Amino acid sequence: MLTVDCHLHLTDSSEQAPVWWMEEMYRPYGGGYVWTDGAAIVGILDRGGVDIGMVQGSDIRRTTYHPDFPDQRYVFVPNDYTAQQVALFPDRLIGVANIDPLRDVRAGVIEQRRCVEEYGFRSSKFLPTYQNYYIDDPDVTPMLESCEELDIVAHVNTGYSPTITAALRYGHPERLDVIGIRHRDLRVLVYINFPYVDEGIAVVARHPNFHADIAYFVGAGPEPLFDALDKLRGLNALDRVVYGSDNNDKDRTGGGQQIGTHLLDELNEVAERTHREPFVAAQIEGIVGGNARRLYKLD
Amino acid sequence: MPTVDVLLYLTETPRHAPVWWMEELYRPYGGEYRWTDGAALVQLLDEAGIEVGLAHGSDLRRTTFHPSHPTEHEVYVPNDYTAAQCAAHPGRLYGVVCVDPLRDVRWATEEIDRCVREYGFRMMKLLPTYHHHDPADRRLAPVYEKCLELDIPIHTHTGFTPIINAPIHHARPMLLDELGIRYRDLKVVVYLAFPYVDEGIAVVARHPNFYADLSYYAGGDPRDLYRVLNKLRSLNALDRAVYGSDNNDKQKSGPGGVASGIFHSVNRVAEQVGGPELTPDELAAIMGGTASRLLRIPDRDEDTGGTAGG
Repeated sequence: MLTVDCHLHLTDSSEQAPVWWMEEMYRPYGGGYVWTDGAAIVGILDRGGVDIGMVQGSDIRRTTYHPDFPDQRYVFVPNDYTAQQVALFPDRLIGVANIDPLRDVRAGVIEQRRCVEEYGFRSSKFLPTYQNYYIDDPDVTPMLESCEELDIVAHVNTGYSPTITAALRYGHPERLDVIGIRHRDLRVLVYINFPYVDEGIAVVARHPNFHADIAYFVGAGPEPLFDALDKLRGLNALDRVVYGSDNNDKDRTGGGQQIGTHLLDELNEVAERTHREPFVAAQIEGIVGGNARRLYKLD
Repeated sequence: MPTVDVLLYLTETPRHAPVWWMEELYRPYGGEYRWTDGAALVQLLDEAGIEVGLAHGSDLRRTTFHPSHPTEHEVYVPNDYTAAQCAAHPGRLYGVVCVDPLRDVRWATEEIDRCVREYGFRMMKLLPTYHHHDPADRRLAPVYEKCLELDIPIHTHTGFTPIINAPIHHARPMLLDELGIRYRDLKVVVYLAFPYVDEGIAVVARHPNFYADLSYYAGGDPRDLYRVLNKLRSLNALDRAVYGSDNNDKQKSGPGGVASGIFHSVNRVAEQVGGPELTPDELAAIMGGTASRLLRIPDRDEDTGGTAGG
């Protein structure tokens, strides 16, 4: 069984993101962070016992700012760098395009096509909070339509970020509902995240072309993960849940607990403790790989 | 460090608020209310074993209306009254400036300045729901800049209020996020409340200059309070949580009783659910350590207060 981590970030040095930005990002999780190139990502996969990782860069140049570091706003991990790292580990990594749709709407569409046709990327990442736009903004529509045409996944971030300029108002999942209504055939992967976990689940459940990235829960502990999966199961959407780890380095339990794929093994301990229905092996297998294989068309 | 209740309201007589308004405010909590002057607030503090209270007046004249009582819209507890009550209880009560910024922004900044410099008020009250504005409304910039200049925090509300004329739209914590992005040094105390508790936690956690007022849980269930504290801890924001009671007279769920007792019972919840306990230091910070630093409240043996407790 092939297992897949849908959510991994490349940022290999302070040339790709200022130190203040990394510190702000990791502040709630104790402040420690590591730079990640392709080899580091493969290390994360190995430690998690995962076969394939979907890796993304970033382009947050337009909206990154800190008043104490006004000249250090260059958060940019180019798609070419992502492609280069993927080429080093062709059996382990698959590229995800990261484009700021509002830098230049037409250029964004061209770049997305290039990433798919030249490098074989299977997905495109949308960061409404970091890049300060609403996902249903008409200027983003060409990129979404292009995802549909290229037959790739639109992976969309929602909810909380410690990065202060990543405004929370752009992260509400209800904006995604509009996308689901407009684009019934676009494959959308939604990063379900605090404080809008229920809203995110509702949006995924409403749209059969939507999928749930559960990377947030990898750092949040087995109980919240069980609650989310139980809700998704109750709404008949468990076969659209996809494992992700978000680099497996953000402890959201507040207690310094171990985080990672082992949480999926602990799910049924929660079921037993709370007298709820356990998950069967086929459901877990779907979450750690089977659902992603269908979503990204990896077979 | 003294123990501190950051949210206590002065409303002494129907001259300060019409009876219909008080009845509407207390309707979900059984309809019972009592008028509160400074002595009543000190009694609340004594019952809870809390040393210091932040006394809030109000000015909701512009936006208060009820069709059955069209001439009774004078919800107004002036800052001078707050100052007098604080002066009567030095070292126990400190004033909070209440202005309606949209009555006149320039007057509001002058009034904030006067209350801080003349009376030693420690905080400014912002009521977007009651005053019908977005907290990030650019017209309020002079008010925020004045608070930065005086280095006083803003206390603001999110979430539910029973007052019908206070639209819930303006109670979204998400709107405060914009303020945090714009003003990284402005200290903001956010009253977390249903139905936006998680969103409120997210906004507080995102901004290191934001604090969480937990008064909502004074009439709540310790299990809910424990969940919120745990969430704040998980986002490295527990050291920005502060105790408040909101007059300890709005029973929402749970066993009821004295507000401070609910806070002190969270470790029983931790034991029941097998979760991490709050350490004595963490609890002490919530009950007053954090607020006394934020509001510059001296130990009582250091200072018995000035004319307005400041």
